[in-house]
Amino acid sequence: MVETVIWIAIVVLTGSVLVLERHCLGQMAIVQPLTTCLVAGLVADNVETGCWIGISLQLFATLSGQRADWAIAGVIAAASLVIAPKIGLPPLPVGGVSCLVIALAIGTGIGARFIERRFAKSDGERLRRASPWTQDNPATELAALVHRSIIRWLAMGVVEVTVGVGVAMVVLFGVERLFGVPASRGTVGAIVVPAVGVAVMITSLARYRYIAWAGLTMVLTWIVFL
Amino acid sequence: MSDVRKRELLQVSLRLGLLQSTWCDGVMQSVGLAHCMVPALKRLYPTDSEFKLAVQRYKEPFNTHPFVASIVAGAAIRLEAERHPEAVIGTFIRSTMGPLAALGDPFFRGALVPLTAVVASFAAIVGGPIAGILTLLLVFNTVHFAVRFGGVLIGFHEGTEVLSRAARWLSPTRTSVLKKLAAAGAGVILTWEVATFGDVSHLWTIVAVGLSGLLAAIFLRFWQSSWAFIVLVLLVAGLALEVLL
Repeated sequence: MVETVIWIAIVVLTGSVLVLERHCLGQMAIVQPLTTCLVAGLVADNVETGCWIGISLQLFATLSGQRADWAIAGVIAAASLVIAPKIGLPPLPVGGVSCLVIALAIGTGIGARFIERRFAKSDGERLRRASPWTQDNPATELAALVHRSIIRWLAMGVVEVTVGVGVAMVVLFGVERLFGVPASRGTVGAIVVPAVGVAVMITSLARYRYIAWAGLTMVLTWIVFL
Repeated sequence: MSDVRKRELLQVSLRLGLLQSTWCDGVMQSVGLAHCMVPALKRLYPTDSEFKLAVQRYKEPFNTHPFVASIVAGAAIRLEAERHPEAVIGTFIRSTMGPLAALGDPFFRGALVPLTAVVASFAAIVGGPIAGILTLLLVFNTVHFAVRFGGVLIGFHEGTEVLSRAARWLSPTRTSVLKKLAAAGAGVILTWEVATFGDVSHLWTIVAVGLSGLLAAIFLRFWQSSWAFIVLVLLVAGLALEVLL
């Protein structure tokens, strides 16, 4: 029990620090869904599922327009991969219930982006009331603003990761108890989800001729390698 | 111009990492940009009154792609060091942020991110997780850090001429080549993921999934505004199919 609580605390705190990178440092230069899920796969000794979830989310994350926070989505999927076996659930399979984990991770990412927009609005109003540029010491005021927002994003990361992973675990428990969905590999989801990811990725390239390029290389790969 | 040392330029580069942390409606990245410029401005304007006036030049709304903001920052430091009038510096910043965003967004979000995703996914499937992680971090961040750190230096050395250099770096031709590579990689990964995660013994599986993937790409192009919800529905439908079958 104590070991489980320690694991959950470590994973949630690590995830919260990692999602800070969406606003600071590289803006998803390091914390991308593929990296977090592959690392989680190694930690949970479930490399194949980590690879499958990571590739799917990474491909979804390529679409232009920022409708979901992909750092949060990646961290929640990765945390679920590590925590699920620690609390008595079977290891997440490729396909099957892992589709739900991806759906919940994307849902939390959309929610996080919504919260971010609300903060952007309230911050803008606050700045209009008290401009840091006209204060006696603008450098200190600007630094204080930046530091305050970093602390806020860190706190929001803790909340979002805790809520996202918590909901994912509750849903996984519920699905297992109610429907008895097996932890075995699911062929349909295993193929369909990354395929939709590839479709999303091609869509991000914006022109139809790129779809033709993808079709051509798809056929060539099949002929040459498979 | 020699007033600004490499140390200040490095500090500006490092602070550019926090540019997005204070993004807000109205002034957008202005707080972040002003915070980045503080080390250079402190060096150039040692007295409090001069420094306060200089910082106020950065209160106008500013928004561009976060990676290429380094180029604007470097060039603005050069203009500050050459003691150009306030209007010149302000006009330069306002007139550069738009074209740079128009170059940076398609290059990074529209081409480099998809290409990196495809290459790293392929590396993860073929070479294992470590290969996937290293490929993703190396391919993306080599370009990202070169622009982020190099941008301040190049901007400082080239001043107002930097836009033409940025246009060469992030040219639409180069962006188009990266997009073609990403599309070509997408076809490879589509076949490979079916072979890795699915049942490759049936030809129809590969053909059906491949064609469905390409048709889904055409379909998603029409509903880009609500694609995230379409993906969620598809994921739940995938699970339902799994249970039924």
